[in-house]
Amino acid sequence: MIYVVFHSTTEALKAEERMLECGLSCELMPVPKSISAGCGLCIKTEEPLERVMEVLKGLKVESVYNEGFERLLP
Amino acid sequence: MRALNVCYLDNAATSFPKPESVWEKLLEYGKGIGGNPGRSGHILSVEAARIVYRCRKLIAELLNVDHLERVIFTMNATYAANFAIYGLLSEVSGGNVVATALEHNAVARPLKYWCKRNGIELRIAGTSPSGYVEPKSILSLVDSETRVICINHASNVFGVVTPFEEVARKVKVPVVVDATQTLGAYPFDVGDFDNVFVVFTGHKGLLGPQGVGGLFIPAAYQLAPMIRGGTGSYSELDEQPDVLPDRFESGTLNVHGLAGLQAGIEWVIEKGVEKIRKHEMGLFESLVEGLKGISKVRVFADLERIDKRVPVVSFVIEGMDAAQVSSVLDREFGIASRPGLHCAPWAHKAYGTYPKGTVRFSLGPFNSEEDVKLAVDAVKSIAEGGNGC
Repeated sequence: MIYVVFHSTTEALKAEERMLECGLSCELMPVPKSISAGCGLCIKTEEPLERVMEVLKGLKVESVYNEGFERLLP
Repeated sequence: MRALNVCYLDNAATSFPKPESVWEKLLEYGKGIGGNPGRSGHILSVEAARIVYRCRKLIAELLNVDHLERVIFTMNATYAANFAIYGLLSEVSGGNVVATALEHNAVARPLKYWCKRNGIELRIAGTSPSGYVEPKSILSLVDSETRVICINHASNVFGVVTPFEEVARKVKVPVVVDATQTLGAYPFDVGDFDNVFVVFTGHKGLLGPQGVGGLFIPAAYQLAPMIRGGTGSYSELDEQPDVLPDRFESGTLNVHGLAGLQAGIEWVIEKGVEKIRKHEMGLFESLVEGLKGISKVRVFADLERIDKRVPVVSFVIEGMDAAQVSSVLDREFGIASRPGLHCAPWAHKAYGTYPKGTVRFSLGPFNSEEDVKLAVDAVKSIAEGGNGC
């Protein structure tokens, strides 16, 4: 499972829309405080990282974390 | 659909009535969702954010632009115009700004303020004898020192359209288009431009509730924000974030208004802008012809370039005060019009109707031939002296 963090709520909603359109399951949730002090939304998904990043190409992804809150990207 | 049995001909001030779905959507949000978008992660906050997102996407669709995050919401078009003008002029000095003689005070006043404060020359492109601002007269004022061009897309007083496209494609400077009277009611496409800012309102042609407007900022521009504050993002920072739309959307948005606006835009898209326009301009023709047929009435509209008009008609009755005419129309005939200067003294000066002003009828998608007949008959009756004016 991974968390994809964005620069804004708008970007997170764009990402959700695109993932659903591409048949990828995902869930919008508040960014865990272990990841960021901000109060934005992130996407939690069980889909493989490469596939997710391929689908989200062009969107402003801030960072990606694994379920242990270790940074995977950038 | 009549409130208090009023024949409503003041759609340029705000459209009325609204489609039923506007109020249904507003209540659906207000009663069942109610969360603050982008402020929490709970389901009600996320659902509120989805409403705002869909509304943003619909505006981007109407404008034919890709970057929906560059559509920012404000409380009205005046704030949007101020955001654009502040962002483009507050930190420059010298040079010039070119604007049309038909600007509303929403643009004229902030322009005047920033030009005076920053030593910028304000150049006004006047109207031709037929009452239009021709693109070539705007272009003739533009030079290497021009900072911004402001174009009123359609006059809220006289209904004439200035085709901003013909200016924007020939210049590199930012062009701020006031689309208050056109978006949703007149063909609109800025997909091919990288220098066009669009100021719009939600409560006129887009048929949403009052309290929502916005600005489209083209991708090449990073403006200074006029308002700073909480955005729900980068909360650890005490400086305004750069990311759009957050940079320009500090404070809680009017989600009730945006929910209604979403339904309004969906109604407009479903009916089709061209179809709505065809209906309104058909009525406009009858109204102009009817008013022109009354002696002592001077009508500031013609049917020669009807493709370059929106359904707004200004007129005066010889020897009668505009406010008094409007008042009699209201009290004795149940017709809502707007008299005076319409927050646009520049436009009235250009047409020679300053300071007395005019009476304005403005049509919307829910008006009918019956409304037009009522209005023409009422003006005739007043002009012929039957109503104590």
